[in-house]
Amino acid sequence: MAATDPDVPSVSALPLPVALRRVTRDILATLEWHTPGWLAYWGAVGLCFFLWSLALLVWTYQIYSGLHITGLLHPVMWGAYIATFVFWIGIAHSGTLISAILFLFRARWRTSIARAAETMTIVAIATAGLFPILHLGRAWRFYWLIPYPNERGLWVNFSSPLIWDAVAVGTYFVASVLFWFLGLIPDFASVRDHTAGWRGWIFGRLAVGWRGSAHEWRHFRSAYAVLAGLITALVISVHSIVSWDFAVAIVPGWHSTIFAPYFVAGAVFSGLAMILTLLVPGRVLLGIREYVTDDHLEQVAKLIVAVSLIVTYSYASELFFAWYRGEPAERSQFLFRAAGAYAPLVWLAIVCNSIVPLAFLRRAARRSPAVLFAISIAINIGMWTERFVIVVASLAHEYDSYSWGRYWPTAFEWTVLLGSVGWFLFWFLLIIGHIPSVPMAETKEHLITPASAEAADS
Amino acid sequence: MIGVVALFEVRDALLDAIAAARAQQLTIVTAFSPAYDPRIEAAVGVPRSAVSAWTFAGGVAGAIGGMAFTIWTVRQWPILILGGKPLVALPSFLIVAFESTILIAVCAALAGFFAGGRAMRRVARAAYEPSLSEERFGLLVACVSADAPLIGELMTRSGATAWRVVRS
Repeated sequence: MAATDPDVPSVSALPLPVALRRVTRDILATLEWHTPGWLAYWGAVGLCFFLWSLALLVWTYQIYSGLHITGLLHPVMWGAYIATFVFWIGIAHSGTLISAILFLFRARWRTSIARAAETMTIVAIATAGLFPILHLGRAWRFYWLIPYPNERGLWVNFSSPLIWDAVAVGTYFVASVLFWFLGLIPDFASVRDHTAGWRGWIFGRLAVGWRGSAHEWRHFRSAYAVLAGLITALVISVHSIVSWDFAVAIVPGWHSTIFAPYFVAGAVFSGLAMILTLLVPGRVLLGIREYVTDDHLEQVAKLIVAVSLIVTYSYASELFFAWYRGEPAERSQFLFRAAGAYAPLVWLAIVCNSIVPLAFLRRAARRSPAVLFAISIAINIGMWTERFVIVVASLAHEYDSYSWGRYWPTAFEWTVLLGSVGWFLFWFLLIIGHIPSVPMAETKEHLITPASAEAADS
Repeated sequence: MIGVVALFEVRDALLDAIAAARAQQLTIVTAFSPAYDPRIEAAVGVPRSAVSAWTFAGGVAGAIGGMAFTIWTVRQWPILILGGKPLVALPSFLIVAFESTILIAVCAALAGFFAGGRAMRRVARAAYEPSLSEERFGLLVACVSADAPLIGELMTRSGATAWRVVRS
């Protein structure tokens, strides 16, 4: 009999062969369309499809009539689209944190939520990647960001932060997809072996001949560890580079050396909140409540409160720098944020990101799905608002009072933003509903070698 | 290759069988498990993976390639000065080179994974059965046809629930 382990699901109380079979059967059952939540699942997919279809219509109209249908006007030429780009890139970060960084730290609780987090990462990058294109007047020229040989002999300018962005986000997407795929290979083999028909055939191709021999596991583990290390470095670099889009400009409120760690902390923070937003209802919808337990969600909540304190420290540092540096435009920018046109948004962000997460200091809050969900939504709103304030308020209130201005998103932009949520959830639900939503092989690894045995071995 | 593949319900029985096979100086081809297990890996004596070497080579190629590519492109049209930076702006190009280092290293690691496991996947295919990805453990031992029953008996004594002869 396997020892009961708090890091693995309750099946750990069963005899080992039975527990291993249960894991396979339970997770394979989530791929069937007759699971209890299938109607709600397909209803949610349909609603999300409707939302992004609506956004597609608006975007088509925007291409037809031009960017004047947005609220973008001098001096604020970067608005909700760019803020939302930064927001979605941030969301992508916690997937890597949970999969790669916590893997390197041997945090076993990450296993049950790692697949959802990795899938979220990929879909969030794909969503974020749309926004620079949406922001383009001539969106069909987006490929000019890619360095490719052409008859004009022109290359992209690698000194431009926008090209750094394209390179970093592209690299992050490719690396995240490969990392996600690698982790799925043993699970694809399980699906291949225990399903028939078209699903067995497709998963058979995806399993790329995996047989689970000790030699293959050796290569698998080496590759997984190496990729985890590389992606950890990558994830920190990507959001740092996104922050440099702003920090290398001499705009008050942007030009700060703290921007890179500040953005990385904010990204991890918002991504962890999105994990809760997705998993609290998702574990019921997919029937994996036995695997994604309250203990796992509590661990995420603990991380959230820790990262929230780092984000709060960053807010305080920004304010301190503005005061201590003694640069009038910088001071004016932060006074504008505190009491100007965007002040309600600034204070909303502070409440949502610095105060509300403190509720997680109480254990009861960390273990209540309703509270977890509500706070995660508040943090999502707070983090989008923070990005909006950073992008917009800084541009609206630069050095010359003659060129100060205001920007508010129009109904067209709000529709596109809502559509991006639909796009994100649509692909997330479709993908997670058609692959093993919990890593089967890794869950079995914990059952075969409980934490106590692993500690003894090491 | 001719061999015997034995199936086990629990990991410890597999480890016992590996030890018994080693004591009889049999050739252990590989073992199977539904999940990664360092004890099985150590017992079988799996050689070190070359994935790290692949990754290192990929990383070096990415770093050199990224830096060379950025410098080469600005030299194709050497008039585009941005933000007062020199034409060959190494700090800027370092960012691109860093990303290409990671990108090529990740791709190389995956290529190393596929290349490393390819030979064993072919051998393991004949011995494999679906229960090995679910709950069972397996051991593949090479032998001549005449020795197969003796090895099967040895496996059964070590706790195997079934065994069969495989040819690949």
